[in-house]
Amino acid sequence: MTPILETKNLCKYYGSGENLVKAVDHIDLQIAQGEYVAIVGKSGSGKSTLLHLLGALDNPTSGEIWVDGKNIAALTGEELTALRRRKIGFIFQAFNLIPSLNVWENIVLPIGLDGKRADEEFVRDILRTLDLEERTNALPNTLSGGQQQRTAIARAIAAKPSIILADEPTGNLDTKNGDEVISLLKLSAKKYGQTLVVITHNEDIAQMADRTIMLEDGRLI
Amino acid sequence: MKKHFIFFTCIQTSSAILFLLFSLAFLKTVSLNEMHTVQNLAGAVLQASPEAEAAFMGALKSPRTAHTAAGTELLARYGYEEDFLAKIPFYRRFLPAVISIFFIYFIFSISSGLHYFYSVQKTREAQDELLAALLERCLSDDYGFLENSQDSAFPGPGDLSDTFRKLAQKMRLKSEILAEEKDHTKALVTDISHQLKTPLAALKTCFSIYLEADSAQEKKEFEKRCRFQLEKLENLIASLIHISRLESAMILLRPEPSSLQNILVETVNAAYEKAAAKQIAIEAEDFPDLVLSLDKKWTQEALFNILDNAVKYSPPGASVQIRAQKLYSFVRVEIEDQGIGIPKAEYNNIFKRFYRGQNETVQNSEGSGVGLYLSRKILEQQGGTVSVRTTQKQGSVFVVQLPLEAEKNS
Repeated sequence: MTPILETKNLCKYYGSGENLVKAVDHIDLQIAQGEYVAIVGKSGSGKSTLLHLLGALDNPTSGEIWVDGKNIAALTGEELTALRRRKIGFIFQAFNLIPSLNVWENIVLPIGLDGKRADEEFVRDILRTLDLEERTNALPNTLSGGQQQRTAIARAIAAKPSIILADEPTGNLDTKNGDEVISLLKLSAKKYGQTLVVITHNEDIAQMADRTIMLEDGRLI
Repeated sequence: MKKHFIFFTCIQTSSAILFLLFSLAFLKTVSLNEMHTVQNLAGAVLQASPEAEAAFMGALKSPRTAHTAAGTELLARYGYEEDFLAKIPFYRRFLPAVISIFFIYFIFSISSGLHYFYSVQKTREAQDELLAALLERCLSDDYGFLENSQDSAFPGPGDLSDTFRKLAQKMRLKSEILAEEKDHTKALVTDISHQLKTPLAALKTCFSIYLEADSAQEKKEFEKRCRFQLEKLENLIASLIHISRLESAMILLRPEPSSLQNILVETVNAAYEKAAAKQIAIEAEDFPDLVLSLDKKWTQEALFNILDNAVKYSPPGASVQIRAQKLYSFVRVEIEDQGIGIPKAEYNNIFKRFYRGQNETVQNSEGSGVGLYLSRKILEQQGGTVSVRTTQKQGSVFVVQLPLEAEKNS
């Protein structure tokens, strides 16, 4: 299978000498299009660093990252921004919604930033799937944690990215809401043909993935 | 495209500037000529009669039409009509210059317009050709061009090229999935033959011992074992038929509005006999019924496999709890048993095809390692999920989530 996301000998080190921390240490990873991969590891194992590198949010110390056949090191700043906006959707543990914008505005904001018009029909469809239709005009602080995370999911999906990167998406949710969020991500990814990479320390959640990758001290095990 | 547009604009602007310069020069020459005429007249009149100076200057400063009537009459007598300026050779020379400048401007405009039109057409033709070539490659399953990250290799503006790329990727994915399915089927056939081999070998051994048995007691014992192996084979084959049908998509799940309560009741009914024999109570909490879009028969099969395991691996007299709860987009069904439990290390494996737990109880009991695999497959095809959790007490909880809204694509 052609990988949509690939790392070659990827390293990310912090500090130097005795304080050298190998957050990501020679990782070779291939993720196929449409795959749902869970990256599991304890805190400090380098999961978040790896995800940030995959999403071009951080620069590697050495090694290469290929997204959709492009080596992202070769891209200009402008192309990199376009790649992050169009190809990749992010979901974070802390939701990262903008408090002064309502649900709808939060969802279409990244599309607007990209200078495009939101596909209204598509966004409505997502809202229906995520049961947010009635909260379209609500502000984030009036929503429950589950609803906020569903809004963040809607935002990640709305730009129709090829890849969704989720960093502990259920970290702030109880078991039931967390399970539901993961099922939703899986359902949406399947519905819209997206690749899903979820990092978590929760093995219960990793069960639902097509493939689980274990990370320890920055290395795959 | 952009290049041609710039060229077109440059030509237009430069011809407009040329035209403007010419007009300015023309105006300047004309006004100079007028001045010369007035100077000439003034010189002639003032030389002849210097006392006319006041009258001349007065006429020059008075409104332009104050004395025209008298002047017209005087000049008309000498044959100078209104169009006399046009008869002066100086002005005559100007006419062809004006006309030719206009023609030059006209030709410039037309030719730059045509150039723009043809170059746009040429670019479009080149794009069409490229697009056609790429489509041809798609048709012949050659997606190598996707690896070429140069966007210029794609025809058309950014959006079109993006959509085309996505389309080509989707097609490539589909053909890869097809190829993978083929491999998958091969693996399935290998797996199935392997699974059939063991009980068949056992049956063969039992049967040959039965044939060569010395005592009636031995004959009876091995007849019993043969029957046991036959039953095992029969069960295995039934499961395999299910699997192969589901895998080869011979079973199409047909979602229809189904009552969840109804599905659960039927599932419990199917497991009831086995549970009653072990005096296991299956208890379900009351919950408001929901209508979901599911394939009733196969969803029952999926839930039955889980419930059947719960009964199989629970000690006699235990109880199995079934709970259902409506969440936002999914309904969560939990099946909790007081059985042997599943070690965390095996969580990822129990849903795999032909996987059987390492636990001794599991190894010694009936089963082909197909049930949970089938359950996951059926549930996931309908947009649902299944996972397993440990409980505080002994046993495991299977969590099934089914979407409230039917998946449109399935």
